[in-house]
Amino acid sequence: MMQKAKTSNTPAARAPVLEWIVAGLGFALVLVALGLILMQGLSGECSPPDLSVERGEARASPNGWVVEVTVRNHGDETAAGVQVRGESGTETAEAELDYVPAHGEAKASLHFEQAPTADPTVSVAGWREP
Amino acid sequence: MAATVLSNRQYGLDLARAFGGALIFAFPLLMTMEMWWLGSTITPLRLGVFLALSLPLLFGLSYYAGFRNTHGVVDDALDAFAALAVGTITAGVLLMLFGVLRPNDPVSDVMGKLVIQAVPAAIGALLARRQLAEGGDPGSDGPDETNTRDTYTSELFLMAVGALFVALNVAPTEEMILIGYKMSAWHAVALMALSLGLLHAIVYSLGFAGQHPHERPWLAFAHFTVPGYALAMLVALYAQWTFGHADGQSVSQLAMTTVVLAFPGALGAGAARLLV
Repeated sequence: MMQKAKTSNTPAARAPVLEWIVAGLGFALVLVALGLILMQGLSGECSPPDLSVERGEARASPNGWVVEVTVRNHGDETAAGVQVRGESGTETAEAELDYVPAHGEAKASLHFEQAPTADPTVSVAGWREP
Repeated sequence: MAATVLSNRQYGLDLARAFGGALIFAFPLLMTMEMWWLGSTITPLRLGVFLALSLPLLFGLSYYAGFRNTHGVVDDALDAFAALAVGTITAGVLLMLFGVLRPNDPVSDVMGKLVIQAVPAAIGALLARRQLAEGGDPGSDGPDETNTRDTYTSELFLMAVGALFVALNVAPTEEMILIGYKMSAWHAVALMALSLGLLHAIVYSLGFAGQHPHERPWLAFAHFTVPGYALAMLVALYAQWTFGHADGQSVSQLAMTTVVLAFPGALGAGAARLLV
């Protein structure tokens, strides 16, 4: 750029305060992200998905009964296509979750025709690698 | 003091323009579900490489284009980081509005989603000046000032950035793999020929070769079109590796999807001159 050669000020002196603030924010964001990535990457072993299921209350819907299920992943890897199953009396219900992120959770709803008599059992049938 | 106030105000305007660029260029990716999933599933190595590579790329883009007229290397570095801040904020706000980012999400998940979106948004922020600036910007050298930096290396760099930018918009989708499955080898050869032909048409008509009036079409083909297409293929390979699409693929299938992805890449490489 031609202007660059003509200017007598140093580039740093020209930069307005706001520029330093915004750039500093960007720099901090990069440092935080890199730090988190390195922590993840260097933490050594990466444990496979470890899923637990928690059943919520059954509630009546206009067309039957819905049981909410929360699937938690305690592993370091994300599970994909998680199959959730529930049994209530003779009825079975299924749902699939696209992803349950590592150390995260996802919710599914199981639908039954009949009111659950005893507590319905819920479980994870399986998942695949993302 | 008055000069500083004015300068801050001018920078504020440039910053607003950068947000505009980030929004316009990044919203297709912000609205792509594969990009959200990728934030959860990408390995730390690939995410780290993606972020690390983005720094020299953004710096180079700030040097050659930028969301405002810069005055030296320090300014360009500041702008590269500012663009990342703009990209991160834009991605964060929109993903929260879309309900993709939720308060209870694990930190690594949120970070992955933000980083993977912030980089393309930051490229958009840096492209903003060219795309959104009015001609009579105060303190501007005029829109043609970047031409003084045209060298062969800069042309290749811009072609690679253009290829990456356009390819990124489709690379995360399943369709890239699906198209690869649907095509025969002859389809792939034809698509390569079309990519090369279109890239050459854009290169030649936009006057990449214009700085060398003596250059003949075939010389421009060898100087710009073939290297440009090669860059588009490399960018396509890199994008597939980053997004995990290369995992478990046979070499021939990988070649196929690379040709598929190099098609938008080649268009981007050619259009780099229009965008930047």
